[in-house]
Amino acid sequence: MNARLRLTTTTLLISIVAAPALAQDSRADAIRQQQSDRQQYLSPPQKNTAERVLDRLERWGFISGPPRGLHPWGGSIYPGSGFAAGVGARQPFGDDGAVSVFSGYSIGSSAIAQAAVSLPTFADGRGTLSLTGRYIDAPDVKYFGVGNDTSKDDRTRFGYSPTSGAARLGFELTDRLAATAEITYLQVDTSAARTAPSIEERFDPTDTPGLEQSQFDFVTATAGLAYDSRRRLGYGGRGGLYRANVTEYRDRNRGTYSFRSFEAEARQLIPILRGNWVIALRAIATVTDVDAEREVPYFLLPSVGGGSTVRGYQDFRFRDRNRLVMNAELRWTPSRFMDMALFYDAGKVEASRQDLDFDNLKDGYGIGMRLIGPRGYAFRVEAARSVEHRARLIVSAGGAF
Amino acid sequence: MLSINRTVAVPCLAVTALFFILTAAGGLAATPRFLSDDPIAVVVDSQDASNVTKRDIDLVYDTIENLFTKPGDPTSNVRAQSVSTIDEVPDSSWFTNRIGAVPISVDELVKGPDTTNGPEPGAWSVIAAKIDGVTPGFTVRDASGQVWFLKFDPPGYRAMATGTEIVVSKLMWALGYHVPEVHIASLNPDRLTVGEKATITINGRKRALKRADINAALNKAHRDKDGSYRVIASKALEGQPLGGFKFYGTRSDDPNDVIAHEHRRELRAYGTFAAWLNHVDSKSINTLDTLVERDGRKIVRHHLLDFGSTIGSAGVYPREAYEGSEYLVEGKKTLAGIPTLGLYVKGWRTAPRYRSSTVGSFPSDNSTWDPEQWKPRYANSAFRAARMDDKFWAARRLQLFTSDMLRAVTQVGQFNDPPSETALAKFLIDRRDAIVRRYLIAVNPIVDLQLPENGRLMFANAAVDADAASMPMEYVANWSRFDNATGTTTAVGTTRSAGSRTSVPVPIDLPTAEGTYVRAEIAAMGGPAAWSAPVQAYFLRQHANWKLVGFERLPGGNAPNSSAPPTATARSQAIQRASITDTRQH
Repeated sequence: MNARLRLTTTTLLISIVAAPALAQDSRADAIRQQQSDRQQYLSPPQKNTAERVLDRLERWGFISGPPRGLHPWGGSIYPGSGFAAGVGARQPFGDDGAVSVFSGYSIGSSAIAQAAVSLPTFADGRGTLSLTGRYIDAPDVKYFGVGNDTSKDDRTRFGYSPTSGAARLGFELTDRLAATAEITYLQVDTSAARTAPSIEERFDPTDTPGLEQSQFDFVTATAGLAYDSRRRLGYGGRGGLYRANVTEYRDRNRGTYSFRSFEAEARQLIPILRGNWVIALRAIATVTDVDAEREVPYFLLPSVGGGSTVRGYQDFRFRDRNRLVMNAELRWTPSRFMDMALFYDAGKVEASRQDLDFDNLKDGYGIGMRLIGPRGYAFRVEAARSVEHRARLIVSAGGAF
Repeated sequence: MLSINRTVAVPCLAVTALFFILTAAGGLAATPRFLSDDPIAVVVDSQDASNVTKRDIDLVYDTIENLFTKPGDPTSNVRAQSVSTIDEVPDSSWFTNRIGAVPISVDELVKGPDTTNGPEPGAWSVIAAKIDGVTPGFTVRDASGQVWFLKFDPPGYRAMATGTEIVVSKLMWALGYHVPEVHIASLNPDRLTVGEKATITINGRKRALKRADINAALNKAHRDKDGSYRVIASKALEGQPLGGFKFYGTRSDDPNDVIAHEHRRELRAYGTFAAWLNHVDSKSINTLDTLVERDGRKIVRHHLLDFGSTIGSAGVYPREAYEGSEYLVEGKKTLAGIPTLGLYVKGWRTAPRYRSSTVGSFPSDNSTWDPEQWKPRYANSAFRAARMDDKFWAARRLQLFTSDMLRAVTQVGQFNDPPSETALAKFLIDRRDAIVRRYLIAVNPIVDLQLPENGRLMFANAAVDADAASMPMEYVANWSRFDNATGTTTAVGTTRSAGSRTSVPVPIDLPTAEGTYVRAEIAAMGGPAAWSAPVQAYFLRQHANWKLVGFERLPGGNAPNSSAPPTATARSQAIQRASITDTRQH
């Protein structure tokens, strides 16, 4: 029975049953009759199609909380590899632990497979411990050479396939202060790119450390501390994030590529006129410390360029042992679910940390529109400009910072 | 697009139309407008509703549905259907007349719905816990076996959510709504024990509750220096929980739910009360139906709950400035805001606000606040359907809260912050006054009609009595005999009186036979434009007295542009006009 026919029939029935009610002597009787007549048309509440679709999306983790059971997966595999989609599954265990697996494939032909075990929290929910195994195949990662003055015309690509197993411990020291520690086994296979020109066509091991070999084994240990006073839900228009990480990369083969990395980041949100505008500032400094006779392999060099650093440049546009990235945004909010921003990004890479000054910065500017979800930025579209690109379009999940 | 099976649908439509014609011709002619027990004061849920089933409201769906669609009856300007023939809301499973129906003292207001002194001292057994999200909560059973829901203040905002919740609960109770009994209590975590069958749901998965879960939840709450927690203890409502109610349509499995919710005056008026209290979270998930037993049968009783996110509290944060001024999504404003670089600064950005950690954040100057411009996070069908007569009805109830009552009720919040309590009371008083000023003059404000044997129709002018408007130039009453069986009227005459007198003469030849119905249409001329639309009052001659059996404030519905601020006449003009003497015309 189609909707209109159903409506007609229902109307008719209601009309018929309403007639006796009209003949009641008292209002109480009339109401009683109305209620009595309704008895025969009762039906249990049922969810409509839209509600059932939302239930499904909720179970898939697209609305709030983690997914439950088998679910589609979407996201990014590696910077520059484009949007990826796949399938995953998540099974809770214990008090609040979970096992989750997913795999996906991107429009840039990258692939990912990941399995993770989040053990039940401890210390009254303040402590977390997770084990993660991940395989990535990124066949066309961009490489322009080492240094801050490389040419975009030297763009090459290489195949990058890291396989890692990590154990990560997190602990909330206070409501705002958290510490992390992580040990990772990382095996990296590099190869010629699928898309020409490949890295070995323009570069050699003398200017690209690590190019002489194709397999690397690392054990890394990371310790981090973060102080986050930003609002945890919705749009964060005030507060700041200050974090520092130190990572030891130990080359398990000959030790040639062992090094240490130190990264410090500061973000500050400054509301103006009750958040009518928000000035968002960020600075990241990443420095590596390498013993004599040792090198940082080209694929682990800190980089500048791309949607989360200097947006007017391509992903991994500049690589070297040290980097400095600074971002400033003037944000305004046309809606609770959307903000706009004019942004200016600048950054550089240098071989020596002493050269991380404000000279010879690579900069760019642009405008962005970002959608805000329950836990901050959910999606963004940004247009950025630099001396190398009149307009780069960035479409990405999450925010730049 | 709907496809229509014409071979079936057309005959059905024809039969329906024919039925209505026949009903209109015969049925209505035999249907009196007023029945023997009008006006009723109570609506009884007569049918057993044992078969209702639990139905949870999905917040995401509810949000999307109400932000982007307008569910419910698309017809605008529909008179509230839950009112009696004298335009009042009878007691029912939805509403119990309190303020306005009976005098309520300050002590009664402060006591509110309380039937106990709160949870019994001693150990509280936790039978369920909620630690998802940012606001923890426990369900506990006290020593007497009574179940309570415990909620906390967010870290750094002691009393903000708990104090606000109890204050607003008392006010909503006094207004007539069914709300839970709530108490402020101090919780020493050692008093909490894990119940035998206690469960917790984390990320959609239910499992046995552990002590660590309780500690994890407490980590998200404000803790006092002595290690205790201030909590609001909300007594479990009587009956079996059935989930929330929607603000449109009816519950499909409840036989007694015969009026579409958007046409319930008590739910329409809830919009005005929500505006008063800046209750931007007035949505379906903050309601609860329960299955209770009355007179030997099961019926559904309807409640409002969760008032911790009202006035200056947003539950986990102080209230944001936009809340109350904008919906979550406003299409045109959003588009307009994209290219402006934020240079178009909305009024709420610059409006002065009171801020404190105890009461949160709310506008400090409400002298020019217009309740008609208030917006919850998203509107609901009942709020949208509200007419000016519904809002007038709400304003009349608010008017009855004296400033002393509002000052006293803020003390119930135990904010321990006198300046903030003063600011909170001022907020309630100023916004009450703003609502009274706005809605008492927005429609013809004649109230309390009586037709005694002194030859005059007596009434009051609610707006003038509230000092919200000057008296009109004159009152004009058109009198007619009313045939209750057919609904037809026969003119009797017109009488007038000066605006300074809240009575008009009765026509000399007004019929007075037992069982006679008369109708008086009374307009207030020379006042705000809306006052010239007459109210209709129906009287029945019964036992040698006139009994008010019918009243309609807006027989013609909302006037066009009724949401625009009405124009008031100057008191001086009215006083000059007050010298007009009574006249009788017939």
